[in-house]
Amino acid sequence: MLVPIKWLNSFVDTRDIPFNELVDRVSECGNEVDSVAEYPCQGVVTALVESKVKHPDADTLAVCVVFDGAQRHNVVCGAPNVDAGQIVAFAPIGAKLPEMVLRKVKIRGIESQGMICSKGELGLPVTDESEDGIWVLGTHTHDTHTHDTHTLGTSSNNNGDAETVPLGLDVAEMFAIGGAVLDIGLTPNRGDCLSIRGMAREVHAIFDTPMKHAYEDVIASMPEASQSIAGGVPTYTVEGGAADRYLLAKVAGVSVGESPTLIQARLHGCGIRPINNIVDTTNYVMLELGQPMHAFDADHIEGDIAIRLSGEGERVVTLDGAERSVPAGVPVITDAKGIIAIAGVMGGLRGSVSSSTTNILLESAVFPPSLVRRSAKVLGLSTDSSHRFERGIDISTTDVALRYAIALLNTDGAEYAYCNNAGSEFVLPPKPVIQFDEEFIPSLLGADDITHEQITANLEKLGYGVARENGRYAVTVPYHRMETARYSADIAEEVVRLYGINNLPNKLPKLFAKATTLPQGFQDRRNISSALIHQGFFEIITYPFIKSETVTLFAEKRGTELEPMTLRNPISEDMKVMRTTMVANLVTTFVANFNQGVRWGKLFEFGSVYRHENNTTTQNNNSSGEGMKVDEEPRLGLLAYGDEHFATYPFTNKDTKTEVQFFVLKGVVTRVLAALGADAEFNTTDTPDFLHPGRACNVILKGKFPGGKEGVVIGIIGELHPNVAKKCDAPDGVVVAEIYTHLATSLIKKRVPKFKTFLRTPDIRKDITVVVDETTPFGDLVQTISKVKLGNGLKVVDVYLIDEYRNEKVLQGKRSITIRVMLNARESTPTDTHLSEGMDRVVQALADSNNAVLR
Amino acid sequence: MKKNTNNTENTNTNTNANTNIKNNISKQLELAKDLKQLEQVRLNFLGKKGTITLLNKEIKNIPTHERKNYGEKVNKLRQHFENIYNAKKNNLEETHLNKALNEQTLDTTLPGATFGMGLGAHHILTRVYYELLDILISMGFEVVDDREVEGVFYNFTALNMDENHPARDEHDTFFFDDNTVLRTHTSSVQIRHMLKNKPPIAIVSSGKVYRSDYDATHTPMFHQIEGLVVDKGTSMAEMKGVLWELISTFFGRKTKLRFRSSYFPFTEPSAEVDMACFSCNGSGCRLCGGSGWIEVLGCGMVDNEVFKHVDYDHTEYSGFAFGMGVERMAMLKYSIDDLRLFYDNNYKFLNQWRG
Ligand SMILES: [Zn+2]
Repeated sequence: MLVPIKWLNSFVDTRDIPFNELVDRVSECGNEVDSVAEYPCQGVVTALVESKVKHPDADTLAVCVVFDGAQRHNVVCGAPNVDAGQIVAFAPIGAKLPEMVLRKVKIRGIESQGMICSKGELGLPVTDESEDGIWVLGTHTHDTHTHDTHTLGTSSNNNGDAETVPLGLDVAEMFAIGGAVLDIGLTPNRGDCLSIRGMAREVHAIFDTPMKHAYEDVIASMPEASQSIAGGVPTYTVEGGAADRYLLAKVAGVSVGESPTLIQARLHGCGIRPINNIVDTTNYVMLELGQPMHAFDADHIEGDIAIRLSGEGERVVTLDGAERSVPAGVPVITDAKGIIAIAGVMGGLRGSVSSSTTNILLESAVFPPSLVRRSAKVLGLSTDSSHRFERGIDISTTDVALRYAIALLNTDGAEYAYCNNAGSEFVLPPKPVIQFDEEFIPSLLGADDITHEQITANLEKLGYGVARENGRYAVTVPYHRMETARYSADIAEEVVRLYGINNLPNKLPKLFAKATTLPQGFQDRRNISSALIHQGFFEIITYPFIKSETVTLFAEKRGTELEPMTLRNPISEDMKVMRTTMVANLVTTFVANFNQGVRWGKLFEFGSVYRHENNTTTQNNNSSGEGMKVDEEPRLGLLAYGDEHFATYPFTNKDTKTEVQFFVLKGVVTRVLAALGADAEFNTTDTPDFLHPGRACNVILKGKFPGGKEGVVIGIIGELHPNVAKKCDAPDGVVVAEIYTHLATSLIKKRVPKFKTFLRTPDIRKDITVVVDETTPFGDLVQTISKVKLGNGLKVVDVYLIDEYRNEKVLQGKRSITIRVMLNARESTPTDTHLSEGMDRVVQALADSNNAVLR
Repeated sequence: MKKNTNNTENTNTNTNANTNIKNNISKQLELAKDLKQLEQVRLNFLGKKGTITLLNKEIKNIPTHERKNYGEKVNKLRQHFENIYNAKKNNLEETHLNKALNEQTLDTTLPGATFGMGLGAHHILTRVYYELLDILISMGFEVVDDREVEGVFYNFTALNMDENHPARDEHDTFFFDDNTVLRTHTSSVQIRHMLKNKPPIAIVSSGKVYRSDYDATHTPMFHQIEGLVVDKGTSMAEMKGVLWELISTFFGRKTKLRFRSSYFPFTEPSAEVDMACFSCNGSGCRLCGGSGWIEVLGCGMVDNEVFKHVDYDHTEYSGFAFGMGVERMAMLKYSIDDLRLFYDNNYKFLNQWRG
């Protein structure tokens, strides 16, 4: 909300408070000052145009002599409406305007010592397009006796109230348009601050400065209501709880015109465009007192008025020209012909005020917040008025605001009368009383030194009534806080915001004596990522919603994929469907970087994939607020591409560089599982469709698990299928992996490694080279060797691949494999004879099981 | 007599020969210029046909009673050789090493090679996330986790945000259906925890949250860390103490904080916490929008309505909650000036956070 400081000062004088302190304290107490705008005019004064002659070298320019009460200035002026005898807003050399600082200039050879300003140049609202040219503040009265007295009119459409204007007055000061405007970010619970009076109440409570209520004087000075007003007054009825309080008055004989400059300037300062005196008055009262008002053209209202809830099929054309169908149950104001306003939200076009209006009906009412909130929502309309009603307004202000508005409009002797006997049968509801133990506030705040006197004083400054008896508080809530102060905690908040949260001591909760650690799932994630980082991988984080085509492209089994989870209101089609694989976003991220010339990729991401639970797509029994049943499965995705040494070392031989192939990522995956304390096996049955069928495998957790589980697939590794790569604009040879970390870690039970005794004698190394069929998997050879009985207490400790050699010319469909077997003996150091006997058995077993021939 | 003479002669001859050999040893060892020549000299004397070896073999031709004397002399020769030889060898080895050391130099200014693969990095958000969690764990918070796709009861209703609450609008929240959303905060995790556990509790919920907002200063996904403490007599002063420890440990002990009264549906009283702008030290600059303060988190005492929804007795227990955006903390601590960088995953951004 915009709060012009000068308007605020008319309620509570802040001139003695250092400005920074005002801003800081108001912010700390709960109404954050988001920004401060300074009124940009400085040094502009009232002055008299003493004479005007045509510029000798320009037909459209005039040269004027302007007198500011002390000095005369030569001014070149281009405005057609400038004339001798006018009182004007004059900006001398050095004055500041929104767009410039005035300097001495020569215009067509004649020096100009300042500028006669238009409203626009002063940063004031220009309401009338025809209002080009300078702002005429008044005219010189040719009164021979009082030479220094001049008449102040508000505009050409002067409605007669003229005052005398001294020369040399600061224009900004005079119209209270100077000074700062605070932009305050009000929280939704502070409807009471949605007015200048409300903010003043806040400042009053914070700084203990007295409140003045100037509007009361205006009300007090208004004439009595007419007993018999021309055309009489309509009566109204309130039905179905459509209004908590409703007042209506008729003002007859109003002439529609421009509002006084002060009102226009203040509205402008609050960011509201002045329209005419009637509309401006309703806005002005709302801004000043927080009571939204509405004016109808009384001559366009037919018959009596009802405030009721709408029925089925009702329609209205609202002020903004839109024809709306009003859903049933919306509070509306109606006359004999139908809806004339959507209560608290917007008026209807029929019955609205126009330039020909002379008799008006002024409405001041309280509509229930929940009803207005609902109608604003179903109609998709939010207005300054609905904003205030939704947050709750002061029910004791309704009549004050109505009288204030009448007084402001009733300046030229128009008559007014109240409808329904001024609502005199209305009785204000009792103020709520909140009771609580006297130790409640000090204990909730943890404030050891706060006194009951402080608590009472703070609450009283905010308008609460405080009684303390028998160890309990009884706090009476003022009307302006009825909507938001309901519980003892609300009262504690009022106390602490004035006491200052910053003044509370710093303590620590006593239950912190308990030790905690990171949960297992977080620790696993941390171990895995640290293993990956040390192998050169970079973590990425991406959005889990992707294009639905991408989900299809990365389906495990094309054509049988299940309906993915779909957002009802996505940001865009590209962010519509919840991912079912971690791989897609890794590829997208890699491609984005690849397109920038990067030729490597070592990426990983932790995240969830999302599916309807039990793969059902039909949702049932989902009305309780529990939400759909969803499987969110945490997974790890990996991507590798490019040169293993990828340019971090300058001497990588381009000819011998090894492309990161399948095996690099397989090694990484093996080590990731090792970081979890698990071993992996691999098979190639039934790998996902989005992977290259000949260059992919499943990752299988080695071992048996509770429930007899064995051979559980916990992930996949493979080269991206060339077709998929092409669709993603990825180069060939991108290798990806996905590890179902949640499944894997739920199976791996032995999370604490146990020490196993080991043979202290050194392992003995024996290398053999065998020739096998090209299709014989290396893994089979390892299996064979591990099972061989070597005799003499010897056992195989480990088996490594040392070399693989293929040469079609020499080996013809076979390959040569060099294997290193690590041996050790259980009891004693083995003799050479024992070792060679053992290795003979290995060779024999390889020959028997795998057709291997020793080279 | 004759024998004696013979013996004497023999001895004399031997003595002369001895002297010759000794001189020869000294001379040859002296002349050896490198380890290779030195080895040749060693072979000349101690090799299979070396002078000393041959003398040693002669022993069988020496009369028995003279053998001891003869043997001692040959041994002395050998010792003589070895003394000089060892000294010379040490000398030559040192010279050789020094020469090698002089020659074997590296250009140590060349870049460090990667052993296998270079070092990668956590995403900066993960790093900040762990930094914050570690601090909270050290204070005694238990880390809890739950789903991202959430029912409106846990995400809104139980947090005192009824059907009319603006946050439940489609402009703010991603919906799957009327009752299912992507969680807009991790407070839903706290609700689920409270429904399953009785006080006292001190928990941290954290993770990805989603809002339907996408521009220069909003991403549709971001990360939150939220704390909740509920016990008998839990106070706002305790909340202040915990937040001071958290923020000042994360940003550094010189940090200055300001608590500003505010509003959240699920806390009452509520506050926002500002940190004195580290760029201008409070005098106002572009980073802090001229106010001198930077907002870092929101907090407050748990609202009674929330306690009612999880069946906690608000007359017996009180609690505080706080929440912060991990992105914001990362931007402030690591001077990252554009929110979108976090989700662009540009390598040039990712590789700035190694170590
Ligand atoms: Zn700053």
